[in-house]
Amino acid sequence: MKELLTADKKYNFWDFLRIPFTVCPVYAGIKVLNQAAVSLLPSLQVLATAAFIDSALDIFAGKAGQEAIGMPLLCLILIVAYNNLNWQLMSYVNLKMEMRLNFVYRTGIAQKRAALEYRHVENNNTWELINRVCADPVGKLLGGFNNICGIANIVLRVGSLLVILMAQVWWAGLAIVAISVPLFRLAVRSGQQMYEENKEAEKHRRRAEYLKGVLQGRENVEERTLFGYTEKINRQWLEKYETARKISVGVSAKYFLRLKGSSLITVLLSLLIISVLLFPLQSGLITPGMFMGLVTSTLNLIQMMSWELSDTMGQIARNLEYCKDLTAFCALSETPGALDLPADSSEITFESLEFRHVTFRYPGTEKDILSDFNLRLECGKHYAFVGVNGAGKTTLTKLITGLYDNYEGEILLNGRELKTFSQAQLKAFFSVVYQDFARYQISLEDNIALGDVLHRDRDKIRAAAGVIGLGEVIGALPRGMETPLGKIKENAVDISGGQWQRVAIARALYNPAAVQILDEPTAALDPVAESGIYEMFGQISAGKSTIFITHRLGAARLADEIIVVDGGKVAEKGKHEELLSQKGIYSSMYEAQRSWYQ
Amino acid sequence: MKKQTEKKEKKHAIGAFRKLLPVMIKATPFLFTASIVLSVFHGVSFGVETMMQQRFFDKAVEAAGGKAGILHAFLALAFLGIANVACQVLNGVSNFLPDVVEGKAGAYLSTAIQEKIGRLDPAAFEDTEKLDDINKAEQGKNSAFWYVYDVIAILTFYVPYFAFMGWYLFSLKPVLASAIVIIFLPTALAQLLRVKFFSRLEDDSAPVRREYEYYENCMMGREYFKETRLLGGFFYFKKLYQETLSCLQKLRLKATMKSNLFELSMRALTVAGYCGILWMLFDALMKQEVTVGAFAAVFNSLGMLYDIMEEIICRHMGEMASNVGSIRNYLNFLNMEERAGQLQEAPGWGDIVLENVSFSYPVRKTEGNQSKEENRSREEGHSMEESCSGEEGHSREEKQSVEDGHSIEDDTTEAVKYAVKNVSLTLHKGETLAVVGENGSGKSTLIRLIAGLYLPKKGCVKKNGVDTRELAMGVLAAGTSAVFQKYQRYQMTLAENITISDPSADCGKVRMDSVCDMAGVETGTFPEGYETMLSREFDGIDLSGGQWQRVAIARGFFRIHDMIILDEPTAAIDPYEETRIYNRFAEIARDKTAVIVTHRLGSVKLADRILVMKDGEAVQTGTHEELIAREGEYKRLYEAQEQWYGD
Repeated sequence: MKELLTADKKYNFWDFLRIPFTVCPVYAGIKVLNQAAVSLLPSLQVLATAAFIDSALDIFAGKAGQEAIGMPLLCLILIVAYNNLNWQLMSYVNLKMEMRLNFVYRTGIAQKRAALEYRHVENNNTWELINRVCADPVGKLLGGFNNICGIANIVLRVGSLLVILMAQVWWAGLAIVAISVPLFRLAVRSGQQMYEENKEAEKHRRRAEYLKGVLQGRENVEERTLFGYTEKINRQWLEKYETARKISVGVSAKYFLRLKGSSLITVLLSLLIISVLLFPLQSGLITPGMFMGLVTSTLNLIQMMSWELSDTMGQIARNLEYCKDLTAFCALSETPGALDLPADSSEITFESLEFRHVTFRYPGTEKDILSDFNLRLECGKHYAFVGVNGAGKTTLTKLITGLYDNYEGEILLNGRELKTFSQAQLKAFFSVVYQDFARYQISLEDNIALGDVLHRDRDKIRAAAGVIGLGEVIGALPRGMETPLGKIKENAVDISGGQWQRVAIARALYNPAAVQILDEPTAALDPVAESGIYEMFGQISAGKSTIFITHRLGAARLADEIIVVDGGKVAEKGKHEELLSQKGIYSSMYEAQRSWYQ
Repeated sequence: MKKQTEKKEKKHAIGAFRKLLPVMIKATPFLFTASIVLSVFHGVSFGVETMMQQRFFDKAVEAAGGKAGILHAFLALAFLGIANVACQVLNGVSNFLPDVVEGKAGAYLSTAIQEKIGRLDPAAFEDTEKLDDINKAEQGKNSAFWYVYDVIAILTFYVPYFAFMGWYLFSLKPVLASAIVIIFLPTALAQLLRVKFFSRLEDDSAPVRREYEYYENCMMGREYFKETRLLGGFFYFKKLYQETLSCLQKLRLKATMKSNLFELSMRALTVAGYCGILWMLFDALMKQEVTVGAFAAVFNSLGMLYDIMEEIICRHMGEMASNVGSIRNYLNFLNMEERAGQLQEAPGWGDIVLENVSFSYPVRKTEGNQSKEENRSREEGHSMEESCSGEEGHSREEKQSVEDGHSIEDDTTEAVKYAVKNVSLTLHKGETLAVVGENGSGKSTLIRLIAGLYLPKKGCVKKNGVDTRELAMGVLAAGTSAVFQKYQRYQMTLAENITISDPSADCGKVRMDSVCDMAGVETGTFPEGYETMLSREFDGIDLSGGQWQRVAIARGFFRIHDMIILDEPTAAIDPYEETRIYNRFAEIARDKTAVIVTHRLGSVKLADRILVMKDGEAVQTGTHEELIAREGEYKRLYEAQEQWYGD
């Protein structure tokens, strides 16, 4: 299924039909058939009306009995009934189809997205693309599907009316074809053009929206009030707003001119056809009923040529844009095994991790974050990585955990190149508490249990929570550890930032991974509290291998070995006292920080 | 109870129209009037078209029967053509105009909102109820526009159309006019029932939908990506995701099946009415009370009558109902109190004196809302038991407030919790004061009071002898600059980011160079210098946290000031840089009044005096040496830090 849905290929307009027909052929089929039936109704109504009026006139003229009117009347009623009821009759099918697509297609898209290589997530351009494709994918897919149905509907409706008309006056049909083909094309072209021009307006509008946020948002109320820039920024806003508005009005004016221009052309053509029809009517070649039916159908054309045509055609450009996005999205590369469960960590032993001449830069950037980085980490020791912001400390964790593998040099895990390990194995080796750790809005217990998805042990979970000082919090929660956290669930309870932090650390404690990494999850704390957390963590994970990353040095003293990262290299390493006596980077950083705390 | 609220709603709806109409007219008087006039013609033109069709059919049939000349038929056709053309043109213009009017009115109304927000008391943003009104004012403005427009459209387009059709049908045969009623009743009934039904469906499925979208985010959202992957949590969340999805689908299916049955029966009623009208027409035709032309024309127009009736009732009335809610926010917003201070004369630079100042953040009145909400759900008689979440729901109101960033910890049940309690302090002209204390001790609130952003609830703050309550905001802020803890990262150019702090100042390069130098902004590293756009989104560059902080500090320095406040502005800057900035700051602040908030006690050595805050109170003041010699909060804080950085 996956291959059919998110395969790496070029998507086009027909995929809007193909995907629903692949996922739910029956519902899609019923929908298409219904559309076809509905589009024939106007023509049937013309015929029924004609028959009805002619029978009525026959009855008046005494040419037929009262019973002759029965059949046409019944037909009219049936047509009216189907026309009015089909939407409701179809809504079950519509819903089922949407549900099925949600289950299969939306999940497929989500799975593809979750398995993407991490660099796509950190790259703003691809991330925007990803967000565009993943926002309501089923809605967009069905939008395209309905668009195709809508086009078919118009073609069928016009076609069937034409057949009736041509049966009476052959050239009228040709005239309508001759005029409607360019009108169709005009509608398609103007749809595309509008799309382009709106894009241009959108640029200004986005800017205006941003400035509006500056003027109205809560987060900048302090600066806004104190600096008093409302008036100035409002002027800038108004300028952008007006620019966007004027483009939009221009686009809209052109749209209406074209729209009503086509309508007027159709009106004139209809009048011409109707006036020509008067002659066969007078000579009795066509009956009054048929005449009225034909007049009605040509007048209906006017309506159709106006709104429906341009709406339907206008959507094509948007849907094609989605095809383009989808093609690009499906072409994004995945990390093999990205979604796999971790391997069983009891079968894994960590011996050493060694960086040999590792040089790394983020894809699409120029600057080497690591250059010729060399380091060996041994089992069972506590390490602290310190260094100024941007020195490359966090990048190291991304490399170790396999989020990026486009480095030069070697990273050897237990003496073997890191790239040769599977994702599942890497997941068993390492656990990381990130600076921006996840606040999973599920129960506290599940939050911690995620640390080890293979084994669940309530007592251990409780122990991990207790050790990190969450016992009191659990006691205060209405349903203890089972209480959902956050604000998503109906009966959830939100906890404070500091408590979330503890939950994240408890998750790491519960994690059986051999190497535990704490990447400044405590940046929001004051230095004393931060050091306290590191100290506690160090004690709990005694005997395990840990890496603390911090730029505040108070906590680094706890480590067996401190590694000072600077300019993408290991600048210094050793114990706290050794480094202090070296009078190098570490000692001057330490002195600088110390002066602020003493 | 329910009747009462309904009555209230009605009153509110009418009152809202009365209040909003003048505002809308003022926004674009000419276009507004023009679109009203055209709308009347537009409505009537649809009716005229039907009438002309009948005339033409009659003449054509007469011509066919040889009873009249074909010229008459052509003449009637010409009239039909004119009616058609007029109708199309009016249709185009009437559809084009509202968007134009909305755009123009939007500029006017948004400006009004923005200016008003600029004049609000900043404390209003801490009040969740008011914040809700403020956040929804913009959306409420749009709703207000369309609400007024809908009312006007009903009066100027739909009423004339139905009046004309009623008159026309009546003139054909009086009883035919009843068709309008037959069309109206089932449509209106259906809508009435539908509103109740669908609003409930949304209530049921909204929480489940939120949950489901959340799990999707856990699988693939940016903030969860790394961690979910490394933990191997994808399948865990996929399971939750698919469970909630099927729960959601079940809810929807159930609701849709119910509503479908209902819609179908309503439609059946419509079809019955349609057939009834058809029968009346048929009857009149058979009795030869109306002509075949009239029969055909009226029959042709039935579809449109139904469509238009549905448009007015389902779309416009439905829209109006949904808009009324957010209009309430808008009206509340318009009535919101502004800063009362009127004094336009600047008090000048001098001492700032706080006399027994207390400040509390607005407390939400959750209880009132909650009971209202409860009543509502009880009245609707809906049980949640059937839904698969099966858990008694918190009220939505409560949810909202939690979303606004208050965790349970903040919401203690105390009646009034003062963030700053009874603080008296004289900040001397030219003095440098350091404010220290633990997280949540009231430091940030205190400096907002000193800056005049907040007005004290009790006591008073005097700036050079003038009460801050008396002063207009602009005057009060003159001469005061600040770097806030949550400084802004404006997605603007570097120059704009710096000069935004002083909109009236000249933005000469010399002055910018000097503040950039002071703050450590290395302008040489920006690709387009001061004109570099600091936003990826707007085709510029991204800055790191540390760089942003420096820009924010430069911004604070740029504003011409005799007092400056630094609220822990160096958290993301590395120690070297931090030392440099503090030293520079001390230099700049030497002949100015300055307040530094920090929890790094080393930095307080720069200050002339230290104020120690604890639980909203000023517990100690003095110099470092004085404070360290005494037992107390300062000593406690100091020793805690010493432990990590001592020898």
